[in-house]
Amino acid sequence: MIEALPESSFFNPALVSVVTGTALLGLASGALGSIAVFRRNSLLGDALSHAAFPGLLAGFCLWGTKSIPAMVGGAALSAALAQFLVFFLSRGGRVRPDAALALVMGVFFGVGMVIQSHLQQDPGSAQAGLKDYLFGQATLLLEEDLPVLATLAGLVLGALLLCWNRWKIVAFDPAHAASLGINTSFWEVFYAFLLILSVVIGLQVAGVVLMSAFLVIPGSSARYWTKRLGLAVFLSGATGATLGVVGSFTADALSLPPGPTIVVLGFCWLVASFGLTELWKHRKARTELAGAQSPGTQPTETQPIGSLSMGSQSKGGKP
Amino acid sequence: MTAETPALELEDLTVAYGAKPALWDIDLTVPKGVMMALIGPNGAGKSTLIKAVMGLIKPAAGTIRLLGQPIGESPGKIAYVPQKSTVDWEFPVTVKDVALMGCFGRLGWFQRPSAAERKATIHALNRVGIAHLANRPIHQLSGGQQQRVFLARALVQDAELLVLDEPFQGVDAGTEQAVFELLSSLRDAGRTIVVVHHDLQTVADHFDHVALLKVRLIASGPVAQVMTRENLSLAFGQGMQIEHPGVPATRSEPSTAPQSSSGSSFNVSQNLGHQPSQGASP
Amino acid sequence: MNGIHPPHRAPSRRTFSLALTSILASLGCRQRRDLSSEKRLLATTSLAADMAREVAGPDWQIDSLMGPGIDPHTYEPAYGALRRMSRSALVLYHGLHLEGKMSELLERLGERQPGRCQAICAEIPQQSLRGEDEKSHDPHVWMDVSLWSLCPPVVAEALALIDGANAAAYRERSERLVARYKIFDLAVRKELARVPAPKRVLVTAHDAFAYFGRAYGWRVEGVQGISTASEATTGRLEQLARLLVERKIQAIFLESSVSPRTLQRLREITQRIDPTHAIKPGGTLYSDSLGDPGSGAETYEGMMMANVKTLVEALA
Repeated sequence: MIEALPESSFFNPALVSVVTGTALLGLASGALGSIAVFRRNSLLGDALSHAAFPGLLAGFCLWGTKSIPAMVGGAALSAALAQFLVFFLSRGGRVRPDAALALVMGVFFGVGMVIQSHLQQDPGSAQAGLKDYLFGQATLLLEEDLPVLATLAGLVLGALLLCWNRWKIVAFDPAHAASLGINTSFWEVFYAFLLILSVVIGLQVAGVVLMSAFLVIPGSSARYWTKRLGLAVFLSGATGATLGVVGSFTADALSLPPGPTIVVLGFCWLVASFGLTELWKHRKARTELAGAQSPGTQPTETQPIGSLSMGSQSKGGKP
Repeated sequence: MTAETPALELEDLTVAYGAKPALWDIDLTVPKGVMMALIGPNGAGKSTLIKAVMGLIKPAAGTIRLLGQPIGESPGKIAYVPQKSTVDWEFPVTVKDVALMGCFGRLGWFQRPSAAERKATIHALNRVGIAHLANRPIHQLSGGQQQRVFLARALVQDAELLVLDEPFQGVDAGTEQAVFELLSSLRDAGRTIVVVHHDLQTVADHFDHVALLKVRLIASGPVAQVMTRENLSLAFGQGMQIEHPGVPATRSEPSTAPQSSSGSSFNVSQNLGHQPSQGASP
Repeated sequence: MNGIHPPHRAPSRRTFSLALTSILASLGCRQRRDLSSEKRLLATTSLAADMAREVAGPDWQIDSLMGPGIDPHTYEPAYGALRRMSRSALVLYHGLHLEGKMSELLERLGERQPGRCQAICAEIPQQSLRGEDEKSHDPHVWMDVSLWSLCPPVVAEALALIDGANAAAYRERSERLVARYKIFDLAVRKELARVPAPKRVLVTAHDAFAYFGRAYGWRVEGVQGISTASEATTGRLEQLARLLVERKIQAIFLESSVSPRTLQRLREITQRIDPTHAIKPGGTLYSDSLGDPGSGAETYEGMMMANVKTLVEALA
């Protein structure tokens, strides 16, 4: 390699699939994962991606050459099994939900590692390919993979948009939803299904280890910018997609792997969101304090409507 | 009153947690259009009864009928206002969002709330007096306001039967009064209200009927009938006294004798005269 | 796997191999006396086994530990392998850390029982080797016939140590083999000359062919660079794609142990740069082992020539 390779152009044609793929994945996983974030169930995505690992390897084991449907199917099955186990464990009440998640996740991933070391004995070893699923290889995203990603994104967004009222109520207050006659189990299972699908399809881009970041970072940052669920989910999807695009370009410019770059940028955005909104809140408080010299009504005085109205000063904090 | 189908009918209802009975052989009829208090000591099974009525736990024996139908068949017809909800207060929703959810039972999978539903939500928020907080995220609410959000949600649901679980626990007098007024007006409009109540002193003031529970149903019916010293002793032990036993709640005026009128202003520190005493069991 | 691998195993494997060494050593001690009359030789790879057959002659029974298609870099000996080792008078391995962690085991065994194990690449001079330091040499020396020719004398000496009576025979066979390889080297060069100079570019997923490139004047580019642990960057993919288009190279090559995805990707990108430029897979190259029996590539010369023919057919 003494001679120099040709110069890289301004727009790298290799980026077409990477940018589009990571944007689509970011959109789907950001929007979907944000709901888990708001329900304080962020660990779920991480657990599912780790739990998918043994199934992925088993698919490869049984069907030999990298048959993508076999691996994806295997990954989905083991993730689903893990989800079921978690549900079953925490149902009884003996094991807390987060403990159940961590437990199942650890066991499944451990099994995956055992399978992997067994595979190393096998002839025709193709572990370079399998290792890609641990850490992701976004650069090897083929253009022919893009329709799959697009379908996923379409499915997730479609489901979220169309059945929005159900998602909203089940996410916020499932007990109340059940009392209205809504089948909360169905929606929980449907959500898990969409999540598993996203995880399994996203594995080759982000890898087991980083997948949870794709699911959790957009939602966490969107939380700072809005207090409304609909807007928050939309913003999460948009953030995920943007991070994908910006991250891919950045990775190309700096010769870094795209997956980790996206995650690092996402984290920076998260910190920035926190910082900026805090700053804005302080500014706002200060101007309010300055302007609260005016006599008469206080800003939160209630207006009686009918004889039954009541009200009091709104206060921050909880009971 | 004509012989209407009672709002709620429990027959031989028995609920047990494992081998331990929480409710035993309850026969309770709640007529339509009354405001009933459900009282009893700790561990009497009040919460269990509510849960059974809501269909959250399966009874070991007995039936529950809502307006003549078994409870499973029309789930939206009972609105439940929880005591302290297990809801995550940090969840990104506004007051209006939560109240609006009351109508979601009427929506299909793919539907959005109509303009009429939205209007009804604002109206409900007005009725409970938190319309000015409509766009506020719920984490900024005080305890009393949180309670009222759920009440508004139940109003939006527009159910036949409204069940409230200790809505006045730790709530200031002004709010308490206002809530009772609201509930009374609902009752007058033909709804049935069941309230798990902790304060024996105020039962007579506000409620038409009362059910006295201690795993078994000790007594139920109009207040004057039920709130006898004898019944109370059976439920709470000897020496239980209340100030005005047997004074029935009136139907039309929002307030009765010892209380001053609440008026339409609602300064929190306003002295209403009648202090709910803490004589009842916690 | 191809390319240079820094050792990266967990400490628990170290203790494991230590335990194995002791077991092996103790087993070896007991049978020491009988072994020299048994003339059993165990080689780690098919390449080493092939050389052993040439030098040792028909009297010896030669076995190889790893069949064709197994990646020597990540091979972990099972207990059966250790038993076979203990029953062999001589164990031949490459050295240069081709066998990964197992080579440490073999080194230690060699120290304990001198003459029992021999690294066949031991006599290759440091400056001929590629790589930064002691630990990370590129072990794929067989890709350069002249370097591989330095190994038969080592094998001969190891055999002579065990079977002194036939020492002269081993040395003679080794010399004949070296002479044969010299001629073979010329044949390789002649065949490769059929590819015009600007087309002498070998693009594959990893860098197993560095010695080949250096010896025969070919430009070798691996997508993932020298280490399989590194990810291919989009920049490198683009550069390689442009190289292919510029030089009008129409073939890229698979290796048996590597995912075809990498090359599929390269093809895709080349299509984008120049849709008229068609890239086809040039075929599969042997990188870490010989071919299966009957493939024509089950000997060293057969394997090398097969690779050469694949290259020539695709690019000439």
